[in-house]
Amino acid sequence: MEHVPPVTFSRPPVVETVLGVQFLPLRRLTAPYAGLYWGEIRQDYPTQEVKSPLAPSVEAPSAPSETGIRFFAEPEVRCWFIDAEGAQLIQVQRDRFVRNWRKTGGAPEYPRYGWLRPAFQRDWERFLRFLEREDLGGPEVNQCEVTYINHIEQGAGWQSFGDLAKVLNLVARPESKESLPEPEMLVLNVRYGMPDDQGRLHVTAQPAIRRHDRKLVLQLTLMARGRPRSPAIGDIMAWFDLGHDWIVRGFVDVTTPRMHEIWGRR
Amino acid sequence: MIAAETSATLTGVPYATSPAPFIPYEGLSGDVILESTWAISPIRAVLELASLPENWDGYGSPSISVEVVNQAIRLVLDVARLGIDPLPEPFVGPTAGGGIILEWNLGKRELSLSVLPDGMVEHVKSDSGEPLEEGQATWALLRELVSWLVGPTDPRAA
Amino acid sequence: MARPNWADDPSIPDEAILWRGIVSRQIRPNPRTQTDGVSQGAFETQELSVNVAAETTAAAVLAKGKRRGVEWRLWEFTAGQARSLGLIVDRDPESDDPSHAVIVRADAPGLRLRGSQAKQLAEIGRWASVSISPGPSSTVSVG
Repeated sequence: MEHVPPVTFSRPPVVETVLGVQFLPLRRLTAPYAGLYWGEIRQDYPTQEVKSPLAPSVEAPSAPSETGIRFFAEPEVRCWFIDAEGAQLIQVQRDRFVRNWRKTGGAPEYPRYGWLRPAFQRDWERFLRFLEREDLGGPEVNQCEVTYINHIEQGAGWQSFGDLAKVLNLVARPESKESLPEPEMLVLNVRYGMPDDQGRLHVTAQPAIRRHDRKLVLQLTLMARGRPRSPAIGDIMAWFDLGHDWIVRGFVDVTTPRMHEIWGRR
Repeated sequence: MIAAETSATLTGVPYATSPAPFIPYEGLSGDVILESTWAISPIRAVLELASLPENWDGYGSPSISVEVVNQAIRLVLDVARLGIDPLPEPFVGPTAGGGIILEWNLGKRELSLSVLPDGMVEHVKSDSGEPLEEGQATWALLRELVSWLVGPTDPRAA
Repeated sequence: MARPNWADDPSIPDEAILWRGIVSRQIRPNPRTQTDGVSQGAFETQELSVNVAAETTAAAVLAKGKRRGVEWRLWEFTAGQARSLGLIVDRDPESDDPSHAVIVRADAPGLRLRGSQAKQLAEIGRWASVSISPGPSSTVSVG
């Protein structure tokens, strides 16, 4: 069934997207096997980097989000496999498979969820076939994540932190202007529970310096995370659709109509 | 689960190169999340140094590596996190060997923090241009150094 | 040129003025002196290239910088001042620059100059005050 997003923008401020799954650790998926996997995808992802691993995170129903620590006898690594433009990335570690898209000079346009979704499915299924062939076990997916990172540049709707009420519905200007001066800094961290314990939507807003052009931006990140009904591919993709819908609706709700106009809401 | 790596500035442990955990940022692009506006100018200055070409000084100095840039960003954010206020912004410049230096002048007191090409951080504490102390910087020493820079003059000094 | 056998050269007398080319990124305001100073970072290296002023001209040194794609201002201090900081000054003539010399640590030639040594070179020196005959290009930088 084709997924139809509820709202679209012609000029969305999104700069990076993430679709990822977390699963119980595959103990036999060691660094050499990650290298073997790279051999299979190298034509599409010719560059690799090794990073320290991400800690496990779980959205437990009716409980705060948890980030845990795991210990393994062998050193843990997270492998990045990057495409030629540096815009598409697959991240693999023992308990994670993540696919990122980011805006780059060679990939300046957001490719839309309608493209990202099947791209993830294709790469995930290819990964599953590799695991099966190498007898590394079948991943028991226990978390899905969809993240959208947006950059709202200073000067494009806001100038100072006191202006952020013009950008975010979550921020209101004090009615009385007699007591507090303009804020020096703003950091926002809001969490929403999805119905039926399907997961949570995390919304964070904080200033950042964008590395490639050194501009000051408001980084607005929406992350939906939760447990799929089952590890089956159909349920994973269904959860991604749910997460994406929550992100789009959440983005519309937390930002102002004035900004929607700037971004070309359709 | 996004490409976020949390900061782990370790008390008492010298600044070191990777694989020490990096500064907090979210996403692939290494955009620098800010916790204070004080850090804006120094971070921008550090990022600008990332684009220096080879032989930028005419003496064959190398361009500044990503690792050094990242370490310098980490250092700026760690200084900002000390919450010492007011603290002037440092001069941020390249070093001849391919490192990055932060330099402060406050009255007669001067402090420099140099990120070396290998990622280690060294400090020099000076008074009226005379070096008083130098060595490797650690997180605990960072607070002491910056506090000294902005603190009151020792009433026992002549 | 990296060499393993640096040794202080007494034929460079203590009073000899040494020039180091400084690019704009290494210039920082010095609030104590209310003038443009030099960042300590300009001297934080293993082998500090300088020119013996008496054996060349400011124009020649600045032209060398231009050939290397940079605009220098000349910072000067004496060989004796460098030696007093625990440094040695050795000749290192180059094919196109016979006045070239190198400053290294006396205790550990080849190791990076100490931060305190770099700091003091930034403190004791001054901008070279030389007159350059005006030529077709009037963009020569001096102190």
